[in-house]
Amino acid sequence: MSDAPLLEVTGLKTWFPVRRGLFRKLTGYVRAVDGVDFCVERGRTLALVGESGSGKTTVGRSIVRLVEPEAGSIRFAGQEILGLDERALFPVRRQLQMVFQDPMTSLNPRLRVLDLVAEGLDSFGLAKNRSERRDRVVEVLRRVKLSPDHLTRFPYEFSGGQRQRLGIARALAVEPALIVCDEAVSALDVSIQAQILNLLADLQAEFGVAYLFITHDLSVVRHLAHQVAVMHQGKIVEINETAQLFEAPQHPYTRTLLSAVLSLEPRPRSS
Amino acid sequence: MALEVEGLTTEFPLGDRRVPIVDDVSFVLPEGRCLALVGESGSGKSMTALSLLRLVPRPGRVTRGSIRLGGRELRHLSVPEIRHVRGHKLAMIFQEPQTSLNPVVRVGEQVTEAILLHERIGRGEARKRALGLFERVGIPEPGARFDYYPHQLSGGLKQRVMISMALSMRPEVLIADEPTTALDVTIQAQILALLRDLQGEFGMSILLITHDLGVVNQLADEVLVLYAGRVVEKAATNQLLSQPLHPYTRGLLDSLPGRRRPGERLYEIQGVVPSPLDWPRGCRFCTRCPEVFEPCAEQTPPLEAFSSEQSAACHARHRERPGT
Amino acid sequence: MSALFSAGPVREALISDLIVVLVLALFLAAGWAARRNEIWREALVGVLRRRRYSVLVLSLYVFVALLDSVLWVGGAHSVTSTGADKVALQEARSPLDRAFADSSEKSYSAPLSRVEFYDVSALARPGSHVFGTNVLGQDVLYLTIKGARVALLIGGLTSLIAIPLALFFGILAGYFGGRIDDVVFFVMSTLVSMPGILLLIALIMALGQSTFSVCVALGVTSWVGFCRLARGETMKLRELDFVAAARSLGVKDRVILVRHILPNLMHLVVITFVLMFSGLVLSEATLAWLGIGVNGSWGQMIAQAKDELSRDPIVWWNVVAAGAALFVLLLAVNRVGDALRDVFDPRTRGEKL
Repeated sequence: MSDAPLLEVTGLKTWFPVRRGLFRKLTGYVRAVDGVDFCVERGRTLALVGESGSGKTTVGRSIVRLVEPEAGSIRFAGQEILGLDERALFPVRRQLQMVFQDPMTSLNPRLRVLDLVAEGLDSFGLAKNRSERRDRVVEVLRRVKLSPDHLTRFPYEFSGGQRQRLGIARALAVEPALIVCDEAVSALDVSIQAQILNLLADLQAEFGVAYLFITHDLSVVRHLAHQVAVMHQGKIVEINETAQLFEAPQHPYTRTLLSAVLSLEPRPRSS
Repeated sequence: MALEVEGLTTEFPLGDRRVPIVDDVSFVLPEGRCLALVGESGSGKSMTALSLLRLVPRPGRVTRGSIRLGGRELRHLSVPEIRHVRGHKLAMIFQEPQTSLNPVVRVGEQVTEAILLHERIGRGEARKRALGLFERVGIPEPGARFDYYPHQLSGGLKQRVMISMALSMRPEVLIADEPTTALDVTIQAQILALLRDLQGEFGMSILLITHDLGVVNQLADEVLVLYAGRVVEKAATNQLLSQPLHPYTRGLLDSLPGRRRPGERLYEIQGVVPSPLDWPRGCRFCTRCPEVFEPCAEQTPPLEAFSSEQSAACHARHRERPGT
Repeated sequence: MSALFSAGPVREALISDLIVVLVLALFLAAGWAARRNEIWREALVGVLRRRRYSVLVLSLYVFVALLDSVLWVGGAHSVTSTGADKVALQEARSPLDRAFADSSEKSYSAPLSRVEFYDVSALARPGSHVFGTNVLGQDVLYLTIKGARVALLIGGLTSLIAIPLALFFGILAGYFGGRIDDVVFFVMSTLVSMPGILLLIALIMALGQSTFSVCVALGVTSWVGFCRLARGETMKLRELDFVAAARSLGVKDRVILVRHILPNLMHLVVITFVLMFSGLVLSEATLAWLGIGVNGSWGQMIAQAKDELSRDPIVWWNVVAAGAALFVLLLAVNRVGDALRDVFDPRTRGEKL
């Protein structure tokens, strides 16, 4: 049982119907994700890399079931979750959380920090009373290095990096086993990005949480991922341990991607 | 033609004060070279570019400094004159090409119109030239793409259209504001290569505005690092990447995941960029600086040359080397 | 005791007083909520700062309307020139009615005149009628002031019918989409494709002519615009990541609607309420012109004045008083509405920093 991967995805297909004309006739499908297999081990990080339109975001959203996959299998902690309806899925949702790219749109501007971070606690009934709810929120804020003085503030009073911490706190509050990070540091300034990446690493060391890290930034991938899966046009073209993938890329597309990474080494210039 | 900027200051009213969002920025962009303005959000790098073009959004205003293009002062030109400069000498491309293209006009038509605005030639001739530019900027099947609407093109192709439109006026200086930030990595590499080729071919200067030091390394000869509206370091690109002088520049470089061994902790610049209302009196980086000491909070450090190709604005440099 | 519940002046007075209490409570609650929530407080302060005089004018109208709604029976003035005290004793009357209790003349008199307009006989209270008197000898200032209550009642009651209706259907259609959206959209298209004024007349004929039925008719014909707005806004919000985050936390649709969608529409509700208000008051004036308006409204005063305008010498003060009252109210409302839109507009909000 403990050898089984935390998340095992096989043959995942997520297609979006294309409807045209007056009667919304089905004319075809956009095959956003077209047969994808991978595993995420407990406490480890799998990076899903690809360019826009590769379907990497759709994979993430399919796993937390924000979009409905067409076919395939998603086994979470040994349990098949793809066929489950919302009621049966409910207990699984607690284990499976998501952090979003844009810290502006991922936080409800009308909620205070306390209610925002406590959203999962409320939903799963994890706090017995108001004081416990508050204590748990303060605790999780401390984990993401935000002060408890912030409880009654609104999201607009925070900077981009602090907002992203709030998004992480909201996911972390329900103690998930896997967090899907969808371009979670892409919208942040360089110095803030480093803070968030360190935070994610600390949380993994402390709680053994696994990440499915969706990104286009290969230097971030190399830094934090244990394994990398490269996506291209809805399919995974290569999957390997990070060091091996960067040293000996097999697929031509992987090589193209790696060669496009901009180096920071000084280079000869015409004068 | 060289672009010389001296003591440029752009102020915005904030509360009951006027805050210099761009504060005493000076640089020289020699003909045919590329200078990069680097900084995080709120550093004033985009506002600097807009100040050059006199496009600062209200209620902001350029209050001091001079902007000379080929020796001609741009700050006091009349509105029609500056419009002429914008059309013929200084071109700009933006991060989001779709917002600068008219969505209901075919892209070929838009470039043709741009050419007709600058040159007294026939429509047929202008179309031919536009087609030539499409080919030059590497748009595949330019003949067919000519009649596409912007939304039918990918982000990379839209940026190529924008570049062809900028080139159509044969500008002296191309201001590129985060030209590749919205693009995929493989496309980004292509666009940067294209800009480099065009720079040589057209002999234009490029003012590159970006937050990405990797992009800087591809294109720029010299770099200006901006923090909270001020220049903190100015250096030749290789010098800056290998031996940054200012603690902020060092912090920026050290926080990049690409420069560390995998899994190693990244350097964190403590805290966040302060809001313009909370800018410290002395060095604006002093609240986050690891090398802060007495004079930092009170006195603004001047930008001093430490070698022929590197200057920095930092008191701590004197503490290290008391002789200089 | 049973007198309280049977139709009559006592019940009329009690209902009206209850409404006053409710409106006051509503104002207090809104003020309290705004004090607690920075976003609303900022908006409120912003509007107050930008539109000081308009807000003052509006407050005056609201105050007068509330004053005119505090009713009680009895306590009639014993000395009246017309001997109407017996009737007055039986009626529910407001402080305003009491203040103008003995202001009646026999017929027209010009503003501040000492004699009647046509037969030049002496007035009972010479020089006291600031806006003159009408054909029945009623003081025009009194009627004009009373019109404020009617106008606010029309605007307020109709909005109270139309906005919740629009919000309910708009949110459901926008959030769930599919069949629900199709049905709501069909109803909206059907309503919009009928000529508004004809639909209004038909509805009032069917419901019978009363203040309430006029409000219902106006409400039914005016909810579509906001419903469409609420639907579109909901569709936009539904796609935002904070809704996705809530869904991945297993939050129920019902809770998402109340916690995430509705609060983000409230600023639209406020703006719509204010901007719709002036349209509604104007619509009532149109209805009054057609003879199916609400009793005592400015629209009715203007409609009745149309014959007077053709008299020689002309009787102008009726229409001018009602028109001016209407104009000032609508101007103030629209200016406040404008400021509200500015305060809530994310683009102008960002300008502060």
